[in-house]
Amino acid sequence: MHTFELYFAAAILAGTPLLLAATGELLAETVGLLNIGIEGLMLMGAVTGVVVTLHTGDPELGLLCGALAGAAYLLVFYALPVIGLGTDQVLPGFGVWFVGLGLSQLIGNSYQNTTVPAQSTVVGLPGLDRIPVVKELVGQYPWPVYLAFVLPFALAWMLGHTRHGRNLRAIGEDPEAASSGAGIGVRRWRTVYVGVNGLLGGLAGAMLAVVVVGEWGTDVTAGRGFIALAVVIFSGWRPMRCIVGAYVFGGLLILADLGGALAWPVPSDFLDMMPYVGAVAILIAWAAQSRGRGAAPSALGARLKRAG
Amino acid sequence: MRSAATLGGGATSLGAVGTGPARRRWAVVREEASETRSWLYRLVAVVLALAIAAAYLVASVHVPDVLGLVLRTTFATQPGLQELVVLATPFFLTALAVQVPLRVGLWNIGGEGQFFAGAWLATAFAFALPHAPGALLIVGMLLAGAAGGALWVTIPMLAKTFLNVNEIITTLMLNLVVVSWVAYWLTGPWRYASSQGGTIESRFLPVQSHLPLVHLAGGLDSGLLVAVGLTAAVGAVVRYSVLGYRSRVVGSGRDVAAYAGVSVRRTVALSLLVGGALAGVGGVLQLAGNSYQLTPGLSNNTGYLGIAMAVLAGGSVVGVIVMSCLLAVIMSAGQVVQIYGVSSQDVFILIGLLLLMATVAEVVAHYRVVRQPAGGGAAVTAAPGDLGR
Repeated sequence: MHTFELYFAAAILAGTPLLLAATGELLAETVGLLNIGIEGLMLMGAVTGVVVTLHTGDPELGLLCGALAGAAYLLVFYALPVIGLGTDQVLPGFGVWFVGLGLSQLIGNSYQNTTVPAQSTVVGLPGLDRIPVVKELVGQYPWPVYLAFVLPFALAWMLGHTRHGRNLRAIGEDPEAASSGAGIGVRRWRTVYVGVNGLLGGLAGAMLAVVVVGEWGTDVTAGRGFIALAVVIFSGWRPMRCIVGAYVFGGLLILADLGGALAWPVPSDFLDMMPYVGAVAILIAWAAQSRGRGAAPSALGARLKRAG
Repeated sequence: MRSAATLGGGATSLGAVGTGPARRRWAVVREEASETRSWLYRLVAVVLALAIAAAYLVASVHVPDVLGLVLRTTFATQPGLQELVVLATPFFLTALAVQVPLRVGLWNIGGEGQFFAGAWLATAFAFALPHAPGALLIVGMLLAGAAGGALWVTIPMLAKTFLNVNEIITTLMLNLVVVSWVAYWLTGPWRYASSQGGTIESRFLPVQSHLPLVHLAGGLDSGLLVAVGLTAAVGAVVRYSVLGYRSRVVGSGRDVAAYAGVSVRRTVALSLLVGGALAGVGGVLQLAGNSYQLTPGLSNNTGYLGIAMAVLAGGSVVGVIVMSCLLAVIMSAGQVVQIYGVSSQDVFILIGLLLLMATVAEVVAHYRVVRQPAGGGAAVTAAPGDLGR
């Protein structure tokens, strides 16, 4: 029983960076922008978070700076070519991934495996943190966990019930009509939500390195950026379903730890594969079940046509 | 992005202030870029990215004349040149592994995994028949490599053809799976007992399975010949065969393919399998021609570098050769400067910059500044036509 509680809490913690990153990506995809470079974005957030935390001793500042660095990074390396110059979306996505992979390592090299001293503020939910078992399961997490959990609900409400949300979906479905027909500022909102994607992806990376892992290491994200992409597809572009997907993958990511703790007779290398095998499996299962008729925004990944 | 009219308007004032009779105006028009023009701009992109890398190198490494040192070590020494050839050999194949599916409009990001899957299956083959004659082993390993690479892309291929699952994510995920798969074999069944410290590596392959050296220019391994031969074969197939025609048709659009009676499903499947097989052979060449044992660092990111090379090469097989050689120079320079504390991960920054600049170049190549008679709005109004494609 005790192992289960620890595993559950660890899965939630490990799933939170995925949830933050997936939520940000979902917003960008809602306005028609497919950013496949979340991996690089998270790495930039992670290295910024760790460096700032190590220098200031303040993990909250580290998380904040990680988020801001993510936004700045994505605006320069993704929004500038895609929205500013009208390039296609896949190649800048790769650019974001690869530059992030290399640059984060370059910056983080001298901070390699230096443990972050202070932990982020753990928030106890009033009331719940007094009840045993419940306290361990849901009542005591660092604050980004609660933020990540609440955000999808807020976004689901925004996208479904507000004028602004409907405008965003219009941009993702048919940018030309949204721009010329409805007078929505397509490029402005796309830029804003690339920034939001950057904020959340950067926070996700910083949260992973500063709070979950506790140090910077080469390629600390280990494919989580791409798992977040899979979570978005699995969610069918509905924010609240991201929560389920992210926590399931959080559980898969730490499966090797559980296997080690319970002395499972399975080589840990096979358990290490599970999140990635799971991502492929879940994409296939989702596609088979929905028969490819996904709720993907129609203009997702398409170049913006310009009115002359 | 500004419309052609505003760009033209902005440039007009410049033109009026600058040169020429006041009656003439400058305008920016968009048009289909010719092949040559696209190439030219891609080369400019490469040069720009390299210039950034060189500037960084000069600024960060405190060695006098570091660029000269890199160039001399790479080009003016026998080991340098040999190293270049060894580096370029798998590049041809991992670049083609991306380019072949890209022709059909698919992104095979799994070159890295297919490279390892090929090397893994070839290792298994060699360990299963340790006393077989060399020729049999080498041919068998090459075939095993092709099979392993193709096998590794089979699941993404099936998912793509039957369920239209995004191949970028599935092929990439399998790269991460192969890391653990190889780690299992290297720490378990194939572990090299006398490896130093915590080094993870397999036992060495039987000696007769090593690719023979061909005595050109002092000692080229025959792997280069295999790589060049396969590259030429792919070039010929792409250009002259029905298969090449079909992939071009599917690449130009699903509707076009349906209209022309070409099976999209079969073409997509085949191009991914061929891509996987090529990457797998690349893994074998590295294994049997260079390292002689399976290690986690066997690929040195060759699979990921293939993406950059394929993009920069465009649709051209000659481009693959040019870009592979160029990248081999960069990588070998990277190895030279690693002695001075530049990490091998830094090469990813360069890949990223190359990709970003290539995509910007592709857009810029579509614009041309033209001079037009005063009052001639014709070019401007004609220009927007199909903006943004």
